[in-house]
Amino acid sequence: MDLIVITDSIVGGLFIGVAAVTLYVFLGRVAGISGITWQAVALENEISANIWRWCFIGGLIMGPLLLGMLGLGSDYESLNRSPIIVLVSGVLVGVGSKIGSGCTSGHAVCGVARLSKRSIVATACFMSSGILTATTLGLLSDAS
Amino acid sequence: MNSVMRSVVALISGCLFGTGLAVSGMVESQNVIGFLNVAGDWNGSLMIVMVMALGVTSVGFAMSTILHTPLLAESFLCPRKNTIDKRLIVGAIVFGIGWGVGGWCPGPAISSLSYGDSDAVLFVCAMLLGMWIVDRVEGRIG
Repeated sequence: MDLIVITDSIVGGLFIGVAAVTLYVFLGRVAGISGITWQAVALENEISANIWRWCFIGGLIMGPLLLGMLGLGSDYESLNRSPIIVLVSGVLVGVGSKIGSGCTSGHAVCGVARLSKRSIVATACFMSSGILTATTLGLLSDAS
Repeated sequence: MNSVMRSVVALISGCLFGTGLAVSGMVESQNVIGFLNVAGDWNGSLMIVMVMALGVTSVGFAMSTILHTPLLAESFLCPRKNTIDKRLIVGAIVFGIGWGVGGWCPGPAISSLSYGDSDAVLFVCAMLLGMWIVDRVEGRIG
């Protein structure tokens, strides 16, 4: 890994941490993105209770745009993967985060820091199954 | 006034989060796959991002205990459940499989929408579909 990648990772990680702490200190909310997204679209809440969620989601999309406007955007390129792969991974991520009450942000970035027993277990589980899956798929594609 | 401020802070927080995901390259799923695929050309950036983010959140959450209430809301709303159940474990494992297949989790996928990537649009729709299916099935059972 070159120095630029390391520096970018450090800076990016700090931003993510500050974002999560900001949401918690000001709104008293954990920055769990799967939960925020589901609640925002689930029609269970009053619209007024969802405004902050839509603002947060809007911010997630605006962040990279602002970075690009400042000339600091990454050289993002779509991988144009098979729609089946994208669809399957998306459904699994949705199903898993809904059943498991959280994703990388809620469990790993916030929950582990709060020393939540549940989040530590969830993070260990999805890290393990993620590594197992990606490594298996990597070996299979190398072999073919 | 507080509700306007809450929206502004949520927007800023989202912006910071999205900026962090973009700066660190976590919006690019090949970097995430590069970390998860330990037999390939290993890419440790996700680990650095996670450690740095956790460093900030650990200190920040610990310090926030000096506050009785959040600065713009009436109370801290933390998940209070403390039991490890089958749902948590099965859900997290399924989530990890999806993450390992595509290299995207919800945050980076949503942030990738900003690049107009049609893969990201499809992924986010599929993710919401997955959540909706669980909600429907459980609604019927429960």
